[in-house]
Amino acid sequence: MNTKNYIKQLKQHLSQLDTAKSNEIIKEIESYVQESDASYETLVEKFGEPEALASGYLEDMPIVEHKSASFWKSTKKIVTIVASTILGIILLASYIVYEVSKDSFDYSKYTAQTIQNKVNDLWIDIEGVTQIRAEQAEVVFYWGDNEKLKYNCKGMDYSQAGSVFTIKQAQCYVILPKQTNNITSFQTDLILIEPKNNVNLDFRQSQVRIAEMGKNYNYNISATQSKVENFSSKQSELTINATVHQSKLKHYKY
Amino acid sequence: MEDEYKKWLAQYRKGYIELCTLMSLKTNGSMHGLALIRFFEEMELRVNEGTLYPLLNRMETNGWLSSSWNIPETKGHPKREYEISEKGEIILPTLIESYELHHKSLRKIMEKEQ
Repeated sequence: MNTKNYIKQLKQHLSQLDTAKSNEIIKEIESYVQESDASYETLVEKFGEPEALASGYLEDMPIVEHKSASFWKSTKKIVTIVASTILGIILLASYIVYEVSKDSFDYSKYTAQTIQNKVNDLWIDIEGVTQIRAEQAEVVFYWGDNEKLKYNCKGMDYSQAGSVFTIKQAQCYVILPKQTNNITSFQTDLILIEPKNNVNLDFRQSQVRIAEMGKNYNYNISATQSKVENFSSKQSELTINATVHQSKLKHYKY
Repeated sequence: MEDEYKKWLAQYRKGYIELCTLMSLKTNGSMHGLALIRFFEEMELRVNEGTLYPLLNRMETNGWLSSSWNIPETKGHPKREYEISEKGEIILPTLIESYELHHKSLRKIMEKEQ
């Protein structure tokens, strides 16, 4: 055994200290060895066994934290902070998505008459519409008794061309006249509140929600690559024909 | 019995050697570990390295001492030199007073016995 062995053993027993402190102690003992020209045996005689000397240093340290414990403690702290931050971001994002996607109010509580009081901006009447086309829009449909179609829209583009009323990138409330029975949509969120006449629906990449309001309907649904909730056909004068592609067809729930 | 005595001595000496160390550094200025051991020997105080070196480390952590590495420009090896700190200078008179009080009390008790 030589002094290098002593130093090596001491280093091992001091591994609980932080590296800087441990290095300082080792450097001091090495300095002693150089100055006194001590052998391994002399070191043991003067300082005690490496383990005992290390214990002397460790017990004299006011706060000695095991390096690995400290590592795990700080790692745990970092992981906790990161996890909490990610969780916080997810919760915030979920809340924002929920708030943005949430309906402004329960549309099913209103009828073609009462919705006009609820949304009391300018309503416009148009005649001769038999078909609605909606693209990248959000539209709530009610069925009225008038011959005219009434709408209240906010957004980019909504216009009539012949018998077709087109809504693009807009949010609309639409009160349909009896003769309008064709609705097509592309990438649109549609809500149908209590349809009152036969309708033909053609949806592409859309979400459609129907509020039956206790009425019976006869459904003819043809769906491809879509999620369609259970719409059971019942004996009725009203028929809903729906061609659904890459879309969701659900019951309306607020 | 011997073990119990060693334990008592170790406890008793820790404070006592700390006091002697502070006093020595105040008197002599900065010193390294081995120089302190040699000085203590001259003063007929036997302190082994295994006691003194960890103790110097603790006293520095307490703030009673400060240390620096003296690196010779030509020959020799680096030495860790200790000196009494400002905090050490402030506490030293209190430690001496405390030691003398205890010493005096022990003397009184011993005189009473006689």
